Amino acid sequence: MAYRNFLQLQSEVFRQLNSFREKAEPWWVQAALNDSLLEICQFHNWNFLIDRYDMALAQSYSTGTVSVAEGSSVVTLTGGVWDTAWFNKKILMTGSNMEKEVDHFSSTTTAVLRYPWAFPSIVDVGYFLYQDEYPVPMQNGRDILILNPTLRYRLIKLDRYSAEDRTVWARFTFGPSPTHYSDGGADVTTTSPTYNQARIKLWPPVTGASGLILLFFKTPTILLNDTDTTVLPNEFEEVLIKLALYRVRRKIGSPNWMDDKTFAMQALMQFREKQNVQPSYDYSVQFQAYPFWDPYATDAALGVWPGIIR
Amino acid sequence: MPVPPSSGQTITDQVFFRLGGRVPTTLLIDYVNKALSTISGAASYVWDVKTALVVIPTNTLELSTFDADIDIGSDISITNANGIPIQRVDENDLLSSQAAQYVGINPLMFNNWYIAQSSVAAPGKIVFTPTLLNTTILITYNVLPPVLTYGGSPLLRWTQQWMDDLLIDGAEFEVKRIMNFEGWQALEQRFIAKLQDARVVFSSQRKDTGTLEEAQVGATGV
Repeated sequence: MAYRNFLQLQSEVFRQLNSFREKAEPWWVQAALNDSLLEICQFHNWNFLIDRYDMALAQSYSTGTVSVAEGSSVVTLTGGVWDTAWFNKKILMTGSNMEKEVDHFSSTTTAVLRYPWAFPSIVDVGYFLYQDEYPVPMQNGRDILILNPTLRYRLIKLDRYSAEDRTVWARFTFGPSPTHYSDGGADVTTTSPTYNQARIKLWPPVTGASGLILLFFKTPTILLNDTDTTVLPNEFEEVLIKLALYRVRRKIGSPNWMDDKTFAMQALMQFREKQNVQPSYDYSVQFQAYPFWDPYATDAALGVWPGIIR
Repeated sequence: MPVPPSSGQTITDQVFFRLGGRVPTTLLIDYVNKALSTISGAASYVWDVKTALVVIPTNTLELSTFDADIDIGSDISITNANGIPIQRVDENDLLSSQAAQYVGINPLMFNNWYIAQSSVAAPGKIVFTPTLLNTTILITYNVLPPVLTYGGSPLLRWTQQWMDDLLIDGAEFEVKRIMNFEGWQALEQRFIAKLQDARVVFSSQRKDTGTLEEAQVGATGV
């Protein structure tokens, strides 16, 4: 849904810059519009940004045996076939609880570890190759929840410290479907197609292929072509124009550039309020917490809403 | 006075008359052209504006082949085919105008332009950033005035008789100054004052009427 396309948004900014002292290059305006679009979308967890990603959980692999020399980063496989398109894998070799991150697979029988093997060399031992960290098309911190559609439950999210702390005695417990998840940083392998994408860490890691549903607030698609449109509701477009004007006028040094920002921020706060008190909500925001903390009910003298009154 | 649009001959005949026939028309036509050049150089006039849709092969528009009469001292406005203005920049902005330095932009449109010396012919060339293949632009520009001859053509582009009078004054005071005829200083003052008025009223960059500058038109009383 959009009221104006990219060309119309640009043209509106240029029209409002229509004075001799406010000449801007097209790329200034385009970059300002896209920066402002990102700013608006990160300003709040807007409901129009809700999106879904189906996470495919990879099957573990343990066919054959592996060897690695002390101090080496290269693990060689005998009797099996790896896939060079695999990334974000971990390998657990028999005789050690030191699971190692695999940076990439340089061939179907060679894995390159992220950090070298610092223990005595091992030759032709069994191993377990698995994945518990999955790149997702989301920015860290914008997740809503993860669902298991098959078994119909939601995964519990813990901060990374708590997740590691509570699973430290069960690090290598594998199961059919994860029950907890945490933030997993970003994909670190430069050759990976998902390099620098946010990762989700799952526990317990799975042994068989399965799927989860991630619901999250997406990052908007950057505007490029004249006919591109934003994900913003119509009334947000004036805010977008004002924020772009603010950026361009600030760069030019034009007077009154703060007026544009003030207008935009006031409008954004009003839109945020409108979304948070939309009548279709059973409760108010933060109703996922217990006891139900209701910032709009603090006038009721309780301060904390006790929950559903039965 | 002749009825505009006037030719070089009608203007020169008027100057010839004012000088009492003491300078031949074959000499006067040069001073008419000189005065016309002075008037033209003072502003961008509405009667000199032209518009063209041009395909830029890579990033250069050779002005000698595009329109040799283009006035590079007057206002030039260029937009992309979609109407987005291409900004004119000076030298110190060029290095910060590379597409690779930006994110969130469309690199398939012109961002800015500047005028540079041409290796082909005067008056120069317009260079665009970035380099693109066969990209259409819309250019609005002013052309230089015609070089008048003592004959029926070319004609002047304006249709205001007082502009004819301004041109005649300009040529007359210059000849009188050179010949040391009496009264050329007062005539020069009148020419300059009327030229200021012409700049305000007929400027192609004029956008609104009733400005303070316009209210002062004719205030000098000369």
